Amino acid sequence: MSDQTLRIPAVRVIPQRWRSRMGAKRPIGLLIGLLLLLGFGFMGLSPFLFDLPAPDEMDLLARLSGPTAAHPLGTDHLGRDLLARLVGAVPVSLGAALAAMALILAMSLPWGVVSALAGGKVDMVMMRLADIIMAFPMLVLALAVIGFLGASLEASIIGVAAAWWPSNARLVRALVLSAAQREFVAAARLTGASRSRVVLRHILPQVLPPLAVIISLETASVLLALSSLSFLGIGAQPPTPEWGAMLNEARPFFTQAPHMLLVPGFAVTFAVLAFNLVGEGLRAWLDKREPYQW
Amino acid sequence: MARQKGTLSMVDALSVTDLSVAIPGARPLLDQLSFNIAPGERVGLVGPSGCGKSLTAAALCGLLRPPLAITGGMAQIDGVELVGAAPQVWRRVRGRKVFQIFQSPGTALTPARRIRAQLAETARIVGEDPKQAVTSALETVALDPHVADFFPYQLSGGMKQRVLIAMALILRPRILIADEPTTGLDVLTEREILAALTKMADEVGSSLLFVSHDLRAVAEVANRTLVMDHGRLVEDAPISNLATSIAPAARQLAEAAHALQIQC
Repeated sequence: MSDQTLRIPAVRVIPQRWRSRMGAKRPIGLLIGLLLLLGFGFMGLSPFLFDLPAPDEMDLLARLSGPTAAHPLGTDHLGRDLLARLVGAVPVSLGAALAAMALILAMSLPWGVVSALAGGKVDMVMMRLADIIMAFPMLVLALAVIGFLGASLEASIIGVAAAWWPSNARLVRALVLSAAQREFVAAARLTGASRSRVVLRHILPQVLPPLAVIISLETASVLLALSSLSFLGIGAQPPTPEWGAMLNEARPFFTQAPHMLLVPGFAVTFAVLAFNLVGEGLRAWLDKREPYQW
Repeated sequence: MARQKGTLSMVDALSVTDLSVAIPGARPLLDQLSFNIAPGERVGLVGPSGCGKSLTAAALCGLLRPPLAITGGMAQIDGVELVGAAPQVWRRVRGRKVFQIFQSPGTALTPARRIRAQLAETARIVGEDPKQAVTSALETVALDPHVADFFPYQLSGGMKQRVLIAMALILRPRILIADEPTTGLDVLTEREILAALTKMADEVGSSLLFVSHDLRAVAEVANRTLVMDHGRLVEDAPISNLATSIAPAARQLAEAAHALQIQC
């Protein structure tokens, strides 16, 4: 009878999805993005696996040398191995972007959830505060915060996060508002569930999938913003290897040693591409179904 | 079929006096509604679309969305006043005193969680042993125990509605409001749902407020009917008397139900 409409739920998401997708449209973007991120992860770990020179070890006799056996990606103006610096910059550059994103989420998620659920005056005040911060151009506000804290990688992370969170908070608020109006949220409230339980178990699972998409797309932008600040000399300070800072160091030697510019340039490009591909892939994967089922 | 258990000394399961709902400053959408439901009594609330049936149900569960608000009157469930009640009072009332089954079962279960988790959560709220409560509730509404391991999207509309009735079984509310629970379901499923509702009310002893525009469905579960029209209560009579009612809305509903009867 009606029980025949049942489907077997075992390991629900992945096998079904991959099987149905393999034929028609493969999630190539998502795969490439994940592979690139894995590659960066492997690069970050490679100093533990391979014998690389220290990122700030100078070989003044080999200044600005092109790729050689000793220095596969060449050296910079101080004779430092570019491969070692590129690899050494992975945890710094990506780590800074992820730390900034975590900071942004830590502020915007509670802010947006509280604002949406409190409603009324509380919502009004919280959102106007966010609007005021959003009224400043992002980099200008970040510069102001860095000016206050002093130029360092930590300051640039805090600066970017301080300027970035309001737009995320607005997004979270909108997602929570739409999720909170769904009938199953009303049903959960009707069972007498506490507010925190309703939020954690019934509202947040609806908010997280679209938020995951936004996060991965925004991580790319945050990475670019942080690299820009380092390029301007107010992010990571020398001799810390950081892609933006490496670009800045390469600027005067562009004609003599273009590899100095290309190496960090490609690293930033591929990292941004990876986050964008993952974000786009997640969006395509999750967009089709709403309410969201993980 | 209605069981008039109520006596004068007992507190009514639901007592509504002059309840009005409106967007402040505008014409009331519910206009001075007054009715009582005795413990264990099953009552149908009928009326044409847009007459305020669902709004009544929402008001009694505290689910009115701003700017809608209760603008006057009283509503007591089991002696607890609901109009202007604090959130803490509402939390005590919801679930144990009043529960509602919605129009669209498809959206009333959280999509990302298995049925077992959702029913167990309900059981924990009322302090019951989750494992046992889930098993026996599913059994009562004639669902296979395996259903507990499914996600809502894997169930048919009728099964989801029965899961919600199982939820009501676990909660054992004093009054269960069923807001058009059979809309959009085929007639066989409709009968199963109505049977499950009746069984649930029998087992728990809940009062039942059955909101519907379909007199045939109401006749299956309730005897006494309240008829609404344009936000007002225009009739309170046994279902068999609606055809001779002085209220035009009640007569029209009875005539429509009569016209739809077919002889097989």
